[in-house]
Amino acid sequence: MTEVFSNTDELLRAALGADAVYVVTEGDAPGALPTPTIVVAPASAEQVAEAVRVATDAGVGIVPVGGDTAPRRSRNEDFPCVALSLERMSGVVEHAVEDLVFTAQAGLVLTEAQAAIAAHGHRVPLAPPLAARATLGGIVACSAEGPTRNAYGSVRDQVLGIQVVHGDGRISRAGGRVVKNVTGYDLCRLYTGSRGVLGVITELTLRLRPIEPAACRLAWRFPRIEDAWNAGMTLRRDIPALYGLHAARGTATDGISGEGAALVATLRGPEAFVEALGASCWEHDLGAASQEVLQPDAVPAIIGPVSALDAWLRVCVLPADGGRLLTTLAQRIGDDADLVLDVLGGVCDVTHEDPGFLDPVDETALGADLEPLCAQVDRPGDPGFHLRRLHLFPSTRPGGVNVMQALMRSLDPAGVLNPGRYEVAP
Amino acid sequence: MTGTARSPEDIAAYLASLDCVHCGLCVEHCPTYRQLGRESANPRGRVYLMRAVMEERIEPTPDVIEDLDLCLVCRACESVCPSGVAFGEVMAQTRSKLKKRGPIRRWMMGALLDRKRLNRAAALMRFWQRSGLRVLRHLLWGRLKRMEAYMPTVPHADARRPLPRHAPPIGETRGRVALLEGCVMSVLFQDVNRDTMHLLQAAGYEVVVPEGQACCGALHEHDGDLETAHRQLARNKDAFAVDDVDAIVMNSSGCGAAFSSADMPAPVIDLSRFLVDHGEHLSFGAFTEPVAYDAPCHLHHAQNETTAPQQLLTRVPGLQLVPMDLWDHCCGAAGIYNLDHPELSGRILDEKLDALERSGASVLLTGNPGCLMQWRAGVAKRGLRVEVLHLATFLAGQVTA
Amino acid sequence: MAAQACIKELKRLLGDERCLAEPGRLLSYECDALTHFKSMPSAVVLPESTDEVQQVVRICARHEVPFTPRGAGTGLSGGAVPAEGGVLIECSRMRRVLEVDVENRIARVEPGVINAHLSQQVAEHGLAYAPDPSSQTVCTLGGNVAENSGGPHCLKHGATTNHILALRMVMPDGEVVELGTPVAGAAGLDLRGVVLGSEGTLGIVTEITCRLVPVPECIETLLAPFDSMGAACTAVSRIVAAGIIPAALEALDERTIAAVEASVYRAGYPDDAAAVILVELDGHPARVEAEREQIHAIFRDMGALSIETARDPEHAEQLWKGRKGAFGAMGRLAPDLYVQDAVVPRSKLPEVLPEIGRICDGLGLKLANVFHAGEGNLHPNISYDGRDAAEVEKVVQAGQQIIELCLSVGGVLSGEHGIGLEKQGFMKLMFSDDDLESMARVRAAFNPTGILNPGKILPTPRACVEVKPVHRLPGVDAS
Repeated sequence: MTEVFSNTDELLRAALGADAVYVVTEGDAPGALPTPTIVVAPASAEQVAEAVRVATDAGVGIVPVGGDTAPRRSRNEDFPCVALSLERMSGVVEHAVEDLVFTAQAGLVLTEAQAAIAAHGHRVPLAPPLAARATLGGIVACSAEGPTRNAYGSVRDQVLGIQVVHGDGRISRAGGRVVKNVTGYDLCRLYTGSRGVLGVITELTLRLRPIEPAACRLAWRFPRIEDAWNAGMTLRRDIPALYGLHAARGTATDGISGEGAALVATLRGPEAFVEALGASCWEHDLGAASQEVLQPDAVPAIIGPVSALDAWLRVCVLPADGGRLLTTLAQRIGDDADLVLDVLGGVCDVTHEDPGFLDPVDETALGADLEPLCAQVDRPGDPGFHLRRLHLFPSTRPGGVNVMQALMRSLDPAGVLNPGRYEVAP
Repeated sequence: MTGTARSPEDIAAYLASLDCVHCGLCVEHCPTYRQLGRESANPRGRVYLMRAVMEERIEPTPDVIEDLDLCLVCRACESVCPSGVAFGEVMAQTRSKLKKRGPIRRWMMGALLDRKRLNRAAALMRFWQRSGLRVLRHLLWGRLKRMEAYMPTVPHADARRPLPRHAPPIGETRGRVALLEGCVMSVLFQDVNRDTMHLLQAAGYEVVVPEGQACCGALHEHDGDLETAHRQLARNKDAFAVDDVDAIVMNSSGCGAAFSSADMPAPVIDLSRFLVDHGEHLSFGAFTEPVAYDAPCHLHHAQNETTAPQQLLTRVPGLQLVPMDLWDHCCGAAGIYNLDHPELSGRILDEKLDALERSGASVLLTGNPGCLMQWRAGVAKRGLRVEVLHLATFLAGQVTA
Repeated sequence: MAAQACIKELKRLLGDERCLAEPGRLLSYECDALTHFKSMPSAVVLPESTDEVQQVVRICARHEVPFTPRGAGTGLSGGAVPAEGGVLIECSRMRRVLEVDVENRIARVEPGVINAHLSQQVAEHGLAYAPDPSSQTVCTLGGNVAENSGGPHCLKHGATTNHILALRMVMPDGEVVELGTPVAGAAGLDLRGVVLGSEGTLGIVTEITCRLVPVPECIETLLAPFDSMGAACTAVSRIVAAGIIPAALEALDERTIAAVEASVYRAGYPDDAAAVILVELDGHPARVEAEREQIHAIFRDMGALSIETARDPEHAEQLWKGRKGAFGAMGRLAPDLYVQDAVVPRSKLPEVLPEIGRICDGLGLKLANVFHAGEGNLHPNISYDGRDAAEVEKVVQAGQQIIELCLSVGGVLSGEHGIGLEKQGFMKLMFSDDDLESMARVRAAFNPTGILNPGKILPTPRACVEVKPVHRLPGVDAS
């Protein structure tokens, strides 16, 4: 351990108490920091503030860690960091059952929150990759989206209130505990997806939705994923009330009988509605090789976690550009990868069990192909990807970078929060 | 104005202006605002300025006068005002205080009141239009030049003959109605009056055209000359006090609005409404070309008659009434607005002409002489193959029994 | 003088028709739909392109003259009131729909496009723009973006922020930036999200990319009168608690009904009810049917006097026009109107509403309630006469008491009208100094000199605008 660290370790213990600080000396350290790593686990927002102040004084960075499911790190290697784990801040603050509003500390694991809420027939409409360990704070900080986006909107749409600790140790709140609110600036949206660079999220108020009484899933087999996508676009046009619609190929379609690619429609809602909608989908002639009704949870890969994190590419395009995206991917990546394309949302996840699968991909050529589609590309498992990406699509977002940097400077003046995260080369 | 004693009309106008809570639901319905985009050129802004002038918060500076003057008084704002602001009344009262009228204008407005003068002017105009003198029109200037351009071909003196004082019903007698010949109508659109008379006769009504009737004064009111307007209404009130008249039927929406605002001796009803309610015996021959209807503001907004013309048209077999955007917006004629503010009036009309072209109609129907002139001038200028007709003319051409 | 030199340059750029500096024209801009706060601009400009906005902003910035954007001026919190002597940038002449992408269901428009016009324009494709503020027939999308406007149908479909995908914006120094993207995903900071609802204090939006939605297959509008507001509110809470999310769930009280029925928007609401609930269900017919059955059961259980279903789309439209014209219709009750816009948790409605009634009764004020019940977004309307100074004072008191009441049950200051000038003073009741400091820093990151729309949202030590006395007719006594 370097000298800086040994000192920080002591300072944190002195400020937060011995039980709030530990050191991981070997194996996987939180936040994928190099071992040995100091982990500070505060028990309150005030303690988070204290930890931030100590780190700032010591010239050490803070990497907030929730369930440690976000694979991507891009900290500045020259900037020593401690991990700030929210594991001790996992309490439910308030479940306003009648109002469908839920407030909890940021370290609460989503599955535990869902379990607590389900008793009342409600759920948090979030479905991030790796839901098993993901915390509410982590999901919000990463804006980790899943297939609920079509029915309920993005992660940002679920956050009604938030508490954060900024880089100068100030604790601030934004939003409230009601479903409609324009009181002051909408900082909930700003902090959602900010990956901790504007503040450590310590508490969240989320909007709940009733658990749909019925669910159904239909699948069609097609020779190629392009055909499945085409059929999907037809369904999208003709049947507006679908919960989810995915074209897929590879392991994601295991469990659906037949060969090749598949189109899977998910329906949720009142029983009569699901039945009626299911019937109209079923009767729709899509020119498929075969079609079947699946158990609602039969194909977890379609709606569930993307598991092969190291070789994971996510490309977002306008829904109607899905076909062009598939062509581009076939040319630049080949036909080998597993694909899941959310037809309604235009989000395509490319994965492969071989962790090195994406390494030979020519990012510049891929970028040049995708630029006319205004695609958003992300490679969550690659630490350096987002830095390269900003240069891949220079024409898509002029100007905003200056504001981003100004925001980071004003809410984290010393640059201690997740350093290097959004640093942009000039 | 300080120290001036307030007349009851002033106080009434002021109180009416207080009904506005500044919600703004009117602004986009104002044709001048759609063109100019400034607050003082929309109803809310104008009420605000009129109130401010009355309260003596500001002087009636030239910009205030101009923006108030730019109001068409189409009263579209009244149709959407949840608070029921009597915009037209406030504007008329304000104009009566602020508007300056020059000699040409006084002559022109005076001519409307005197059938003989009007006829002499029409004869002169006809001579000009037919004698070849018209090649000199580039020598005209200002309002005169514009008036010349808008003026339809003046009909022959025979066609301008006054209507018969009595016309019997065709078939079984169902009642008796009175008709206003009007000022501009009687010299430029006497054919519309005859068609109106014919439709009423065909519907089984005896039509009387009372002696002593005169210009309704609507244009004078529009111009802020309330004294003349009131005098004309009083004259007409006396003239129309004839026996056994079921209704006074109007075929010019401007006059109709003026008559409806006064306590006339018999109910004042627009021709379209009258025929919907009492013309069930009429039958019409088929018409298959696409027809658009442009609502005259003083029928649609001032008299709130929003459905009768369309209802009547549904009774013409095969008639295809095509939707036209902005059909309930002013065409920019607005009395003599097109002469006073040709540039803005032209911009307003242009947007309407675009809508007409998009609609694909080959016949455009309306119900007011000013609108007819404005539309015909616009259609001719663009070279559109659209026939612009008064509703009465169209229906009289289709009526079979 | 800086302002005079600035106006001269603006006139040169835009000409007399699009740069207004005459006293009467300026006076008409001294307030928006909230008339309490007035302040005169030194010029009003009407640009027609991003480029012109950029040039205007640069001229103002060079002369250090503050500027404020404005849409249709239907805002109810004073957001578009100019800084005294500042320049007002009126967007009413930027009204082109630039692009409609039917397949991807998006439209790109200029900020002066009227909310309802966008839906009308895309109707032929079976699409609509969902947020529907009551002023939708006149308000601009630019104004909606600035205020993050709501509307009855935002209960199910979300407020403006849920429907705006990307923005082009002129920064206070004149730089043009693109924020957000029409594609999904969440890369980078959500700068678009923080601009939405920022009341024109972060930049001047000159292009808006919005999401369109398919027109629902089936729409059903229900009307249920109740003999008490308490019962109506309990019915609302029970619908929410049952997990039903109707497209809209609105409430009107007796006095509102009377005002609406006297107006051009008369909707045929029952005149013998203490409260009326207006519900709209939309979507797949089978879903609508399932939800209708549940709602009928709740209404019957709560003692609804009847349950009426709109006969046809025209009837439904009439019911909605009445609701949306309600605010203006209050002009029939008194010359002036104060509309509150607080939000409370929906389960608190049955306790909060009677309490608001007691507050107004106690002060002898005329209260009418019309509100977005499904979201707990209250709109107590207090009708008063601005000529009566004592009554004005009571209205101010009532406003404060209502806000304190709503905050005490976990509510917030504003659901859709914004803070503007009206509620700055209340911000400290809801937020700590540190909370407000964060907001101030975010604003400074966009608008470091504060030249853009100064004096809004965050509490300021001194009032920049005056609450001026209103309504007097010289030569006549106030009665």
